Amino acid sequence: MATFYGNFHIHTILSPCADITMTPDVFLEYLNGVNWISITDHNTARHIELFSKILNKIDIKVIPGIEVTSKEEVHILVYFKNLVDAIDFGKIIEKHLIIKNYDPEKLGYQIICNEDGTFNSILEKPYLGSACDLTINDIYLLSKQYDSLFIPAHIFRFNGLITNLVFPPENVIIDAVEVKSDEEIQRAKKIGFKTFIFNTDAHFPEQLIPSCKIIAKDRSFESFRSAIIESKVIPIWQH
Amino acid sequence: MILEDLLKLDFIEDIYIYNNETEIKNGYVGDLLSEIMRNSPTSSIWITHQTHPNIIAVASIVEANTIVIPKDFEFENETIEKAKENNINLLKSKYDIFKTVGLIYNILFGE
Repeated sequence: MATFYGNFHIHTILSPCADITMTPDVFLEYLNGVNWISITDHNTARHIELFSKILNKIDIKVIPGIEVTSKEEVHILVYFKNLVDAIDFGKIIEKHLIIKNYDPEKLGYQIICNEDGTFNSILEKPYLGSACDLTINDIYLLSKQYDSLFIPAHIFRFNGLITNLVFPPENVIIDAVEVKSDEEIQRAKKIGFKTFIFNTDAHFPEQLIPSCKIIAKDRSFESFRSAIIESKVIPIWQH
Repeated sequence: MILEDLLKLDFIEDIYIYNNETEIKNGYVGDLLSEIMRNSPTSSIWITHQTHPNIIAVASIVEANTIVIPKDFEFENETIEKAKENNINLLKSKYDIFKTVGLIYNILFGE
């Protein structure tokens, strides 16, 4: 077993709400002390391949992920074993986004980058900050067509499962929940959650820091899954 | 007022009526279920965009007896089934949420 340093909720410049500096070159500059992350842009998988390729060069392993917004406006992190699965799932989610058109001047540019950090193109539609027309239960069923992990993000904050829906939905197996403090762990335990993940939900370069230690055999998806299930993910609180 | 007073009006479609004599004493508006849990008064009509089955559990806990959704929204089938099990009335307005709330407020508390 080895100890890895992770942060599994990171947005790139493609997310309209992320900072315009969240480009591959800035990731290379700021990611320090982390060797296992996930790229989890809002409702899209379009940037995972590019970032994985670049970060692999400095031995940072990337788990393909997406932060989906359900019809109830609940944010859910879905992690995939393979890039292909993430891309396939991402394409379906993009088609289900309610808001197709957006004004980048008001909502932020959705920029696709080149490897060197220069801007390649602007994704004009759909608006990635939109909710889907799929319920949380629909998204769960869709995610389970792949070998994925289903983890509600920041459950006690805005767009969090508990804030928006109070209870976990029936017929949904939640692999873990994302929390940000000891106090939130205790609250989550009272609701019945047993497994947790700790991330910074990075939208700015300063948030590209380790947020948890993971005790695992290696940095494979299976080891990620086992570490979560066996509670071998240890928080590094940022406050 | 009783639910029947509302059903007489042409902007409300009944999706599931448990009892049209249901007495409605208060009202509440919101989409965050945790906020409804904290603040909704009892014997309320609750106007919301949320249609997930969890709204029935929350309505039961806070003793809201009627839920209204605005135009262009649909209750999920499971939500309707749970409403039947929990004796909660479900309605749909033909107006957006702002106009719906204004009209219902006037009936409930107006002169």
